[in-house]
Formats: sequence, C-alpha cells, structure tokens
Amino acid sequence: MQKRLLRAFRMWQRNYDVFKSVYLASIVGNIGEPILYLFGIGVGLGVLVKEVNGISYVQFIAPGMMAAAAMNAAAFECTFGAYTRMMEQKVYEGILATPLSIDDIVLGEILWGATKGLISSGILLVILVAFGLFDAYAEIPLILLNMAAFGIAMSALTLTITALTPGYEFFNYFFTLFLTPMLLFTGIYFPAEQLPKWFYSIFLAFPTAHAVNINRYLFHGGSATMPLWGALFMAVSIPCGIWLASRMVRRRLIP
Amino acid sequence: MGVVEARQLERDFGAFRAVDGIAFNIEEGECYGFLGPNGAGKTTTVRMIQGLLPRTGGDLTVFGKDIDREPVSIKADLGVVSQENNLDRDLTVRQNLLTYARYFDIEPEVAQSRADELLKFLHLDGKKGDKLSAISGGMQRRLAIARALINGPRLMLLDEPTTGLDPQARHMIWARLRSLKKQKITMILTTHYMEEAERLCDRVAIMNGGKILMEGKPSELVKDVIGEEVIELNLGDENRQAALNRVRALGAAYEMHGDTVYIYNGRHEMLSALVGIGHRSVLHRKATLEDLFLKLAGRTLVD
Ligand SMILES: Nc1ncnc2c1ncn2[C@@H]1O[C@H](COP(=O)(O)OP(=O)(O)O)[C@@H](O)[C@H]1O
Ligand SMILES: [Mg+2]
Repeated sequence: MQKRLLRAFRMWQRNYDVFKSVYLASIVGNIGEPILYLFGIGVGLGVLVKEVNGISYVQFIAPGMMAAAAMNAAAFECTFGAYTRMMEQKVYEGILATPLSIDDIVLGEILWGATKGLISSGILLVILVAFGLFDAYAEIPLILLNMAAFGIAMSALTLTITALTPGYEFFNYFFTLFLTPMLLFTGIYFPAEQLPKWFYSIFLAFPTAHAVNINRYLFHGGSATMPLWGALFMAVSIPCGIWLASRMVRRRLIP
Repeated sequence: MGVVEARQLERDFGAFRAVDGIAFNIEEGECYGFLGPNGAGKTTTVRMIQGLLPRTGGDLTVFGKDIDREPVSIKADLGVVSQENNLDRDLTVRQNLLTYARYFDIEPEVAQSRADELLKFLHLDGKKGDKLSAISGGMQRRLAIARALINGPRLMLLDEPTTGLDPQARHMIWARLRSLKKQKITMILTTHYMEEAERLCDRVAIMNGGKILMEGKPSELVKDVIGEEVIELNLGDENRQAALNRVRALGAAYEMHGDTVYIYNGRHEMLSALVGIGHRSVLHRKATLEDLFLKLAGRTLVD
C-alpha cells in the first residue's frame, strides 16, 4: 500500500515538475476565469440581487465559485492534459516500462488533478480573504479537505471520460454539455431550491452539487442534511471512481 | 536457466493471431535478435516480454519469474527502447533521465551522476538542457537508449533501435550497443536490417507471420542454408530465359528476385561458365543473412 502510494506519487511528481516550469501561464488560465466571474457576476449582478438568504450576493456565490474553480482545473487537467500524455505523447507507455503500473499512473494523475483543483480553489480563497469576503477561518481545514475530496472525485470522473474519448474534438462537447450545466444548475449562482426537484436530483448523481453544498455549509452554516449526504457521496464515489478510471484506462491502453 | 524463456507463446488480437506458438530461450549476456518483416510479430513479442501486453497463451518467464504475475520486480531490472519513441516531450533531455530514475526509486544523487555518465556515453552531454523538439531523431533515439539504461538493467529490449535513422546515426548506435554487449548486458533486439542483426546478434530468430521460422547463430544459419558465397547476377530484359537456362545448367541452387538471380554456394569456377550470359552486372560475394531471408520466405516475406 505504501509502495503503491509512493509509485503514484512519482507520477504526481512528474506532472508537478512540468507544471513548475510553466506555472505562470497555468495559474493565469485556471484562476483568471473564476476571478472574472466572481467580480463580474458577483459585483455586477449583486447590484440587482442585493441579498440571497440574508447574505450579500457576492458572498453567496463565493463557496460555489471555489468549487467551480476546483472543478475546472481538475477537469481540464484530466481531459486535455491526461489525453495528451496518454495518447499523443505516449508518456504512459514510457512509464509502463518502469515499475509503475497503470493503476499507479491513474492514481497519480487523479491526485495531480485534485492538486490543480486545490491550487485554483485555494488561490480563490486567498482572494476572498483579501477582499474581506470570508470570515469562517476555523473552517479552512475542512473547506480545503472538501476541495481535495471533490478534486479527486472530479478527476476520477473526467479521467474515465478521457479513457473513452475518441479524440480532442470530443472534449468540446464534454465541456459544453456536461461542465457548463454543472456550473449553472448545482446551486453555485442561485439557490438550487429554485430548480424543479427532479431536475436538480440529476445533478446529485455527480460530485459538483455536493461539493457546493458542503462548501456553502462550511462558509455560512445552515442545514447539515445535504452536506452530510454530500460527504457520504464523496466517501463512496472516490474509491469507485478511482477503480473505474483505472479499468477504463487499462482497456484503452491494452488491446 | 535462461534470462527469458518462452514456450508455446501466443498472442491474439481479436480473431487474428499475431504471435503463433513461439518458443525461445535467451541466455545471460547474449544478444538475441528477432528478425522479420513488418507485421511478423516482433513488437508484440517484445511487449509481452516487458509485461505491457498480457499473453493469450503459453508460458513466458523473465529472470525465472512469470511476467504477468510479478511485473513490478521484473521491470525494475529491465531497460526498454520502444519502436515508437515515447520520451517525455514536456521535459528536457536531462530531465527525461532524472524523472525516469525516480520511477525506479533511484536516489537523486545517484540518478544525477548516472544521468551525466549516460549522456556522455551516448554523446549527448552538449544537449542536457535542450527540449526534445530541438534535437534530431538520432539523438532522440540515443536518449531513449540512455533512459533505458538509467536503472542499470540486466536485460535490455530494443525494438528497432535504428529504423529510420541515417547511416551515420545508425553506426553510432551500433557502436554503443556493442560496448553494452561487452558489459555483458543481455539484449533482445528486433530489426529488419540484416546488417544490424549480423553485426550485433549472437543468435537470431527469423520470424514471419507470428512464427519463428529458424533460429541460430547468423553465420551458421547462413552457411547451413545458403553456403559460404553467393553470385549475384543482374539480368537484362532481353534473353532472360536463355540466361536462366544457363544458370540452371550450373546445377547450383539459385533463386530469382526481381531481375536479380542469386546463385547459392556460388563458387569461383562458375563465373567462367557465366561469361557472355548477357547480364548487366555480376557480383561474387560472401553470403549474408539477407540471402537467407530472401530464400526462406521467398517473395512473400519481403514487404
Ligand atoms: N493492437 C493491435 N490490434 C490489432 N492488431 C495488431 C495490434 N498490434 C499489432 N497487431 C497486428 O499484429 C501483427 C504483428 O504486429 P507487430 O508485432 O507490431 O509486428 P512487427 O513488430 O514485427 O512489425 C500485425 O499484423 C499487426 O497488424
Ligand atoms: Mg514492430
């Protein structure tokens, strides 16, 4: 088990080394967008909306924006990034000639995707603090834990999709038809109660809605029911997701 | 006990049998070649040995262990140069070696000195910080060899190490591989260059259609099947039949490929009998693996 984790960490390190050398461009891409949204929508729409559930609009969307930042970063890494390494550059094939196995590579990729998510959402948290939009300091460890768990679940899900992807063009559909609805209908920009129940329940089958619920609870309190279900969802979906991603990548690579 | 032992080794892709019941036994310190045209099953065989492809049937042991059961410990002592380069394009030349060393859990200080040693050995020390896109195909191939050596492997798998390289680059790689041979590293090499097999391999297996047609020392195989020497006659288009009749009258084994006749075991005296036969050129030379290759499978084997 320890050796398994060490081997997965070697894959993580490989990605980290590459990231280090181009990190400014990466950071700008991953974090620029959520910041634009936070201020564009939060401050702009905030003039119209004023308050949601007793807090300012920009404060209302802040926890969801963190989840959105984590989601985008993890999904980008485990789609375009992972596909390039797996199929285009044959990095996996090269690594498979070393003691690392497909399971090790997949776990390393998922942990790396989660790391990217944690970096993006962490930077957003720093910005929130800097602008005085955050005060639940005691919850920071749990918030980061939530983002890490969400990053892992999201990375496993997107890596599974990547293993099934015919080519890069497919990712355009994936981002438009899957990730955009995840941004719009998981309670990030408006309370999910405004959606028809049946419609929202579709989104509860994926990690994003749960990550948003947990984060909002940690930011602002409220009912613990949905966040607890969310924690259970993460606990179950993470091992299942890692298992499924390994299986699909193996199927893709080994004829 | 052999370093690699295979019996009745098979690999199917769907209904297609790419490797069809082959057997071989590779000894410590030898250089063993799989020789054959495209599609013969060489890469599939190498990928099974490195544990990348599970076999469909038969037995395969590496260092006495079943590769499908104990891949981690076996791969720790393996060095692989794949047919298609899979160097890490996001890393520089030296980083490729250091990152690879980490997969083998080699201490950073050891990895650094080993990487510099290997870069020198493969004449890449001037390119340490270069991106892969900035170095030539021959250099990338040498880097792939350096990378495969980073863990000090007991067994190296080289899948067409020089295909597509210019002659100078090829000779440079041959020289490096010969010096690895002197260090008693066991090597498995695939190639479709007869010259490469002849220069490097102690034994070769000639493959076609997923089967091993023949196995042995290159020189002995050639001697047994072809003889010591060959007369190569390039015939003109006219009077070809008449010329062939005169060749037949020699009583020696011969074969025709394109417009060239190969007379096996061609002795010097025969040359005088061929005077005025109407050939474009004649060559009396030592028999090579290429002759054997042509003869073994005739036209069908050559792609
Ligand atoms: N992944 C695969 N799926 C289907 N057929 C394959 C696959 N890999 C190889 N083959 C087939 O197996 C045969 C042997 O291929 P290969 O081992 O690559 O030959 P060689 O390396 O000698 O050129 C070829 O006919 C090839 O088309
Ligand atoms: Mg091949």
